[in-house]
Amino acid sequence: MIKTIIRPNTYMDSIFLMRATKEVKSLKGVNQAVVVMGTELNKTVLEDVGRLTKEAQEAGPGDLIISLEVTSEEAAEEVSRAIDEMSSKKGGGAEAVQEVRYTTIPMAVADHEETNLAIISVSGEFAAEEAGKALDCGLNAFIFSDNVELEAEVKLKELAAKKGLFVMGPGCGNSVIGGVSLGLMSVVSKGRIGIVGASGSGIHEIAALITQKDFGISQAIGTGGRDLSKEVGGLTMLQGIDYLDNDPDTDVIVLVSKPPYPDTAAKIYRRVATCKKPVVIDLLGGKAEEVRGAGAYAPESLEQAADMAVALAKGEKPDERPYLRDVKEQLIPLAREERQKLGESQKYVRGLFCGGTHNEETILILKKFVKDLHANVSFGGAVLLDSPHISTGNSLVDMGDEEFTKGKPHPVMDPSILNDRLMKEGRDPETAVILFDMLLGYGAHEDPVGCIEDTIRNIRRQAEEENRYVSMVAAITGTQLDPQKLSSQKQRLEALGVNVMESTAKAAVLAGLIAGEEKESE
Amino acid sequence: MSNHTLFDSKIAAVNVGLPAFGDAVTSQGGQCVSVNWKPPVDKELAPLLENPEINEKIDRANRKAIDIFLTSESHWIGMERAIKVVPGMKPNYILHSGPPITWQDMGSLQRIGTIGGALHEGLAKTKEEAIKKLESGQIEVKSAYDFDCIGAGAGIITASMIVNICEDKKTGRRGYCAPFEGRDGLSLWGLYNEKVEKNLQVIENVFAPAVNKVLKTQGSINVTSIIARALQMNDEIHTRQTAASLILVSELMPKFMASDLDRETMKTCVDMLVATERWFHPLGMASAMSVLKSIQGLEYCTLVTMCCSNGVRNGIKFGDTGDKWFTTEAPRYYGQYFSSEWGDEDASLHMGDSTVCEVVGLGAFAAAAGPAVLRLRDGDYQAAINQTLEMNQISFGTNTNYPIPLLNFQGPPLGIDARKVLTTQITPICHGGIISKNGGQIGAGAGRFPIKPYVDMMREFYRKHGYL
Repeated sequence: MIKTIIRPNTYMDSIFLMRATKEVKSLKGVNQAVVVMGTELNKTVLEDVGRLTKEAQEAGPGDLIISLEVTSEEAAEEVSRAIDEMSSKKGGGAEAVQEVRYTTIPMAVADHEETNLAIISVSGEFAAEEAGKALDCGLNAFIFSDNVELEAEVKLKELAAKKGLFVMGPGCGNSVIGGVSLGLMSVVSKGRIGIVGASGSGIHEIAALITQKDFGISQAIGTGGRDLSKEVGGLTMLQGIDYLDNDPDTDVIVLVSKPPYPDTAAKIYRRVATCKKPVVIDLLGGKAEEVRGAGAYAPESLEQAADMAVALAKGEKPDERPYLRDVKEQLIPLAREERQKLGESQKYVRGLFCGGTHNEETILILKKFVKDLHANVSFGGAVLLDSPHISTGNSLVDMGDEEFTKGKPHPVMDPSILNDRLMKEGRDPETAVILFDMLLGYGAHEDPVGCIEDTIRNIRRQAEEENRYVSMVAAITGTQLDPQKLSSQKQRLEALGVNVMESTAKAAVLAGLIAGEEKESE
Repeated sequence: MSNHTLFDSKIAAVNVGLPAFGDAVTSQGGQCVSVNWKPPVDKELAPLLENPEINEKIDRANRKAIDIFLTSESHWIGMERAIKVVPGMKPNYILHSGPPITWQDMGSLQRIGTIGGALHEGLAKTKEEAIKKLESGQIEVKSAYDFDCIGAGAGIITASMIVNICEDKKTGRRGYCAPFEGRDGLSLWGLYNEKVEKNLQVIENVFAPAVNKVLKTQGSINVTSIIARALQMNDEIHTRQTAASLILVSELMPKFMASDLDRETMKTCVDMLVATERWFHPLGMASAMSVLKSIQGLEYCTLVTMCCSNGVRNGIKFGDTGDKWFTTEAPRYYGQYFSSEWGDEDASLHMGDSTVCEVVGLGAFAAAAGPAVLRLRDGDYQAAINQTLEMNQISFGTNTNYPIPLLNFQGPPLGIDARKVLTTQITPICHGGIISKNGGQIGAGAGRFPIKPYVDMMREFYRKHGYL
């Protein structure tokens, strides 16, 4: 039925009425609706839809016309009520928050002049362009993105050095600036130890261990993995050393990197030799005598670097006893216990790593315990795996390698990428020890252990059915300040029978002792 | 810009990429603004867009264009038959909105409107004859904008039809636009019947001569000034001109009273003016045209000088590339329909030149001035402010002549810069009416315009200037 309701002397603006038209149409029993003021113009609309009734015709421009095609009188009344309700509704306008969506760095900076840092994690082919814009805006840059051309990195860093700005990265995973952890970094305590590192998980572990020992970090400056190459020549690291050496809030400097290009290393050593402050340098298998030659301390592991830094921060002379020998002695009883549970065929360590440096440090340590060591990266004399997806003998795999992360998040951000491989190694009757690492922090997964818990249970269940025992060793890099909380992540892994170590080096030694030949010494 | 040292102050970051990294900073008590980054739309253009050498030249030209806008003062000076005043107009031309299109390619509504125009003009006696003459080229269809005319809606203008004339007093340049005929018009909505013809006769024979005489004898009306006042009274000047039309009437009345028009003529004119809230619309558009003419062909200028559609193609013109059209498929408008009988399937793709309002920083760009218009898309006043701020990101300047209360008395953005459209990948939003495929307005809303013409234009721009 056609129904025309006229409300004399009721003004509502046309835009409200268009909305009302739409809303009342959705009411039950309403087939069609037009809600308009009775102007001549609007009457033409009613004419068009064939509902210019006598009442509508007679309505004046100050009268509201509700023109309906409804199934019942009740439906028409319902429409009338709905329009009353809509027109009396109070808006929450004043509470609405102004929100601007910026699409470029310069626009965001124009509105926020205090901005001092750009965090860039776009796809590598575009990262340099964005970093360039950041520098043009007078910002420092933290570039998480990988696969930036080396030439572009050199250009950016030269420009930054000229402007007195820092370019951290490309490929920079971890920094702590002014107490704020960037990228994948753990939350650490504020303190007087400064770090400059070309290795992300290296910075992460050293700073986390220092925090666990109740000391803290002044600044941790990530440089990106290629900073100490021939081409880049340590530009960011040299800037970082300069800063920390002159920083009144820093007492001790820690440098961490993979072995640098020799000329670049020489440059760093020359600068370190003039440092006013004690320096600890962990070069992951680099030459300790060269480090000592520059007047710096040469730790055997990330953990020892943290220990030395803490000692120096206390004003003590660091303990330079052979670290690995001590650790080994300490872990022999536990290793023996684990070994006894293994069968004849279980011979090998299978390591899966979220942190790249953790993989590298493990290669360096494990090769002292086992023969036939393979890895998916060319490092430390490990044999390159034919396929990174298939383990042979003792195998250590960096799960953050491009091969695994193409189009997927980094394993620190989503460790569930480890699950299939963990299961595969767990099923292999030759696997003696599964070794892995977990990293915590705001940028990391909110519950890393939760990502792999089920898989670990499944490995245990299946091994039990086959009368096997698989030894599991893990290192967690994190702190109590992290949102995931170190102690709770640790407890959950331990509840699954995993031997959790506080450092990569300890985990590597334990795995080596379990799978290696016991009589082998360093 | 000064360089910021990293360590002396609290972290204030801008995050480009993974949101988790930005969230981490704020969770730790730092400050972080996120950038909604997208990969560049054209990799070859990306570095050129950052090239300081060419950018300096562009900035200089664009500043000049903005200056032309800001110093302009457009007046409504008269109403005449198109053949008498529109440069290049010929008796067998029928103008239409949007970029040029052939009779064969026209959408249904413009075809209906063109036939109506031919009948009204007496170029054909029957629909069939009109079609035959259009097919043979005896009647030619032309883009209104290429004749300094703004063709709102279908944009049908024939030789004897009336156009409003607006003149920029600063330069003497003129723009033209047909008067608003009401909801059933030929020019806007492509409708043609006895009632429309009768109305056109009144406009051509009574209304326009009378108003023309009044404007000539009693003085022109400053359109720029009306816009400035109406923007403070809830108009955004495209979908809503309620205040502007009232100011117009109040400025016109004393002129009518001072004229020697007879009472009956005056009554016809006044009835026509007050019958619709939209009478001001064509004046706003013609005044825009009168200013844009000074920017067309301005070397190195990357500002848009027109954005319009013909129901099939959307066409954009830019300062530097002058008369050249850059076209792509016309976008669809979204909004509310006058009756629940109508929906998207009844609507034509975008059609009309009224988007010239946005080109001069009104309409969707001045949404904050007329928040009521945002309610067509369920937006509140904050959405209106946000829309203006978003359009600000692709605009080169600000119209300081038009202070807007909700923007804390700052002006709306002015001058769509093709470079900014490419770097931000924000494309213009324009307000406007929703037109039925079969003629007539069936709703109102807004559309988001495509990016392709901006890419094509900037490629041509850099080629022309030897950078590509």
